[in-house]
Amino acid sequence: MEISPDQVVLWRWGTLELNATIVFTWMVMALLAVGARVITWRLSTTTRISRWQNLVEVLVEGMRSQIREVSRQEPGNYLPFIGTLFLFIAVSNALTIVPGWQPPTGSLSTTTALALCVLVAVPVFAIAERGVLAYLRKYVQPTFFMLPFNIIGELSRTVALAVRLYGNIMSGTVIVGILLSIVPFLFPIVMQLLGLLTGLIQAYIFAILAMVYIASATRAHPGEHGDSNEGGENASAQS
Amino acid sequence: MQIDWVTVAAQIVNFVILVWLLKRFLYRPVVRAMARREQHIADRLHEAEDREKAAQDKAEAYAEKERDLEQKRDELLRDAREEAKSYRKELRQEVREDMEAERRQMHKQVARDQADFVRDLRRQIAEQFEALARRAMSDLADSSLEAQIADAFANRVRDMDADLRQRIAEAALREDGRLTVTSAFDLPADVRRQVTRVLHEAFGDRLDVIYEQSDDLTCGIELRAAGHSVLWSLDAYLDEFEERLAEKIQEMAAKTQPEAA
Repeated sequence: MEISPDQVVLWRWGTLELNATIVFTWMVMALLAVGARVITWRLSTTTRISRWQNLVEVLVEGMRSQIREVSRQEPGNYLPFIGTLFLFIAVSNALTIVPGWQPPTGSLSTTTALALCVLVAVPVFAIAERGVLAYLRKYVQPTFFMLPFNIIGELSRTVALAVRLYGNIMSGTVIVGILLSIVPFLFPIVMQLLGLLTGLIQAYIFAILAMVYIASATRAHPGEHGDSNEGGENASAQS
Repeated sequence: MQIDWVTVAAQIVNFVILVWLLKRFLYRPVVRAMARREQHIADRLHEAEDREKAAQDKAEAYAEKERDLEQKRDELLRDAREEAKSYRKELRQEVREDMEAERRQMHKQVARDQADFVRDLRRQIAEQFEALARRAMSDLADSSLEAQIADAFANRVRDMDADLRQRIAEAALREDGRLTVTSAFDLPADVRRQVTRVLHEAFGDRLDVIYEQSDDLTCGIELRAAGHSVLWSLDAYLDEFEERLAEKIQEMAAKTQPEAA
């Protein structure tokens, strides 16, 4: 039994291997990009809009309001990053109902890649917002001795981010696989539905946590603008 | 559970590309379209507000105009009413004045008619009386009316106060030494002589007696000298008669007026 889609090699050319993770990622990317292009081909600015436009507007506005709520900042700069994280993970997970679909998020490589992106995005947004010194000073607070712990904390939450998503999605796929060999009918479908729900929740949690990390880094003092950290902890607790 | 670092790198690149793609094809156009729609709606709301405000202003202006018109109408009505009132008053006053003038005119006419009638009557009475008296005198006493009048005149001269006679005589002498006797009719020579004698007795014979005839006197004789006058005529009787007659007429008028009313 194959646990990770990384191990499914679809095409090989010398040392280069094209595994299922990358292929399914491209499919998700193509679906999202083409879908977005088609829907936004002719956007209406009047009060009469198509139902597809309505759908994407609801989606985008929902993401913007979530970002605004968590960060207490205008969502303009964060929307592409956070929104893409959510859409990519959600679509990857939702497509598990398609028979034969290998969700790219079920690969530790993908979740690691996404977690690394968050790891890089946090200082990038923070430095762009506050400057290098202000950002670095955060690591020696409240005292200089906290520096190693702060660094460990930064890294561990990235790892947690990656492993949480990977574990949830991979476990869902694996459980369905195991159940299929024990109870061939009905029960795997229920588990599949449960997996769909878990997948969407994981997408939401991943995106929200990323936003919380960015928001806490772009702020002068943690908790200065409200209780976003608490929100983050709550989100972590849900996982 | 293992990490393929090549795949990790590829996924990072994939993710960055996806971010760029979605930013270009999804977020930017959708956000822009929403902003534009919001702006559009805000503009329309603003426009509606402006229009509402304009409508409200117009309504207020109309209300103001209506109030003005109503006020003006009230004023006009009041003015018209007052004008009518004053006009009515004026007309009434005019009618009253006209009536008063007419009444005065009528009174004047009546008084004139009355006076004319009395004068005419008096003249006729005097004439009739003169003729009657003349005939009666000649029939009964074998004497002329002129002689009787001269007698009466002579008696009046004799009855005069002596001082007055003296003053008249002196004044006449001082002036022109004349005594003028005026009569309504031509005095016969004997009557003239008698009168001259009486006057000479009364005022002294140094004075000349001159006789004149005048229609102004009604059957009588008058002596004028130096601003003084001695007269006997029917006038006094006629005056009394006229007075009585007028009284009688008034009485009759007073009696007939309530009946007419």
